[in-house]
Amino acid sequence: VTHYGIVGAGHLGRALGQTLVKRGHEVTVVDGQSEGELVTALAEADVVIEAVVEDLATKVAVLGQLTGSTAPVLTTTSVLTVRDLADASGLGGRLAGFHHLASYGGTLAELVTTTSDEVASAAAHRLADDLGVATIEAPDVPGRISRRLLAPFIENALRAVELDIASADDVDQIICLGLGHASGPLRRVRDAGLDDHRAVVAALRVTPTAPTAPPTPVPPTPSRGATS
Amino acid sequence: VLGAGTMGRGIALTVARGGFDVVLRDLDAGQLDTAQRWAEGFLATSVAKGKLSSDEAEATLGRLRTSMDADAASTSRLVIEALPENLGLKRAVLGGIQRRAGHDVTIHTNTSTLAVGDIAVGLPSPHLVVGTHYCNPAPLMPLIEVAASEVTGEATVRGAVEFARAIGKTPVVLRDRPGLITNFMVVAFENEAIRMLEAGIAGPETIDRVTLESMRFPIGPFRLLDIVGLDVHVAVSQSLREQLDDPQYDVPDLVHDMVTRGELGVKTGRGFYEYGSDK
Repeated sequence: VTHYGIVGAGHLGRALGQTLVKRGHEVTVVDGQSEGELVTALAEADVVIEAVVEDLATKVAVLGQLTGSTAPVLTTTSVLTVRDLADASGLGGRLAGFHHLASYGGTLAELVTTTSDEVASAAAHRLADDLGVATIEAPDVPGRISRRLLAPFIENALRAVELDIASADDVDQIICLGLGHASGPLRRVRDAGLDDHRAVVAALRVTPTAPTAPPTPVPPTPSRGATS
Repeated sequence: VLGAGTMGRGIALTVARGGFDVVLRDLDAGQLDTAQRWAEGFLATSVAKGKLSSDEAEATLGRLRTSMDADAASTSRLVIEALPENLGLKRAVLGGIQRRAGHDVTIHTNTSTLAVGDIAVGLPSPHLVVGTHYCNPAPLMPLIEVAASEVTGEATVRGAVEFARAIGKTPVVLRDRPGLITNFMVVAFENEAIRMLEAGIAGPETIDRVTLESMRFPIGPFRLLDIVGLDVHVAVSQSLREQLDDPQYDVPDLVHDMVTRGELGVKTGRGFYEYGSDK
């Protein structure tokens, strides 16, 4: 049994907590803690999962407080780089990336462990085991692999409706019958949360006139954090 | 059915299976031979799988005839056009058919990259032209995108919907636009995946795996591209780039290089993946 501390009681944090509890693990979910309270609240946790909003400053503020504890930390970000967050928060190698499209029914987590120490890497794999999902090592680029492909796909489905080519239901039916998808993209994004989609699109700069993310050099852009 | 390529032969077989008499017309005898053998093979497989009785298969073949005669469609009330995606060619052939026939000829165009309105305007009976886009393989995929242009008559759209249902398909009526929904969505998606490969973000196996297991799509972009054929992808993507003026459809350099090397996918034994002689 692992004791997980989850920071952020939004859609993702709650869903992760629920799954982990169902699978027999202990979970402490915290939200809205003031400065200094976080480490105390999560003192029991073997592993801390950061699941706050996809905003660099917000995430860095939360992760920075966790430098006061010793547990490995996993960030659920899909659009920020783990390197940036590790550098800016001061967590360094104690941080690993764990992105999982749970809200889209995914059964594969994209891990980013390129800058992580062994304990943080092991924690990422342990969380995957505890959730019952497979893992893949993803590059530390905004969007990883799944979001870079899924966000523009959904944007195009939304644009098709906006351009009045077909109704939302018809777009979904076409994708299911013509491309063999089990569920249409508009139903899926509605169920997963349009707010989540919008945040990802904004972060990847997927715009209606150029719905592809700008090419990202590998390795990614230098840290925007405090150390650069 | 005009044009015995992959789509034309698939559509001809679908329509014959639906109980209609079909003439599959092509000017290339080799294409017609290939189409005939493909149809026989497809039906034999269906019989072997228990999806069709041998009597039904025989009756279907009896309704399907091939012809090189330019006037072979002269008695047809319905012409389904699956010619190469060349606007001038389509307009010339369809105009000739509508002019020479002594009766109204309804035209269903299977175009997936041209606007139906661009094909129809200036033909003798533009209101009788409607888009009916089948998905590959036509006999198996249930969808038909019915594209109603600004000049398409309402009765023509209704007729296309009824015809689709009569041959066992599910029609979805949408606004006439190059790429409709399927290619608008899938071609942009494929280009995005190729650009990720070009940028060194991940390899084809990894991207395909994430697409299947994380995004829960039924097939990865690179497997799909290899099946479609990279030459076909380039043609469709370029056409959409020009008509929609959208950089999503810029063909990645990597694909041009692969086409130059003859790496077109499954059909040449090599694309993003390698295929043995048994495919």
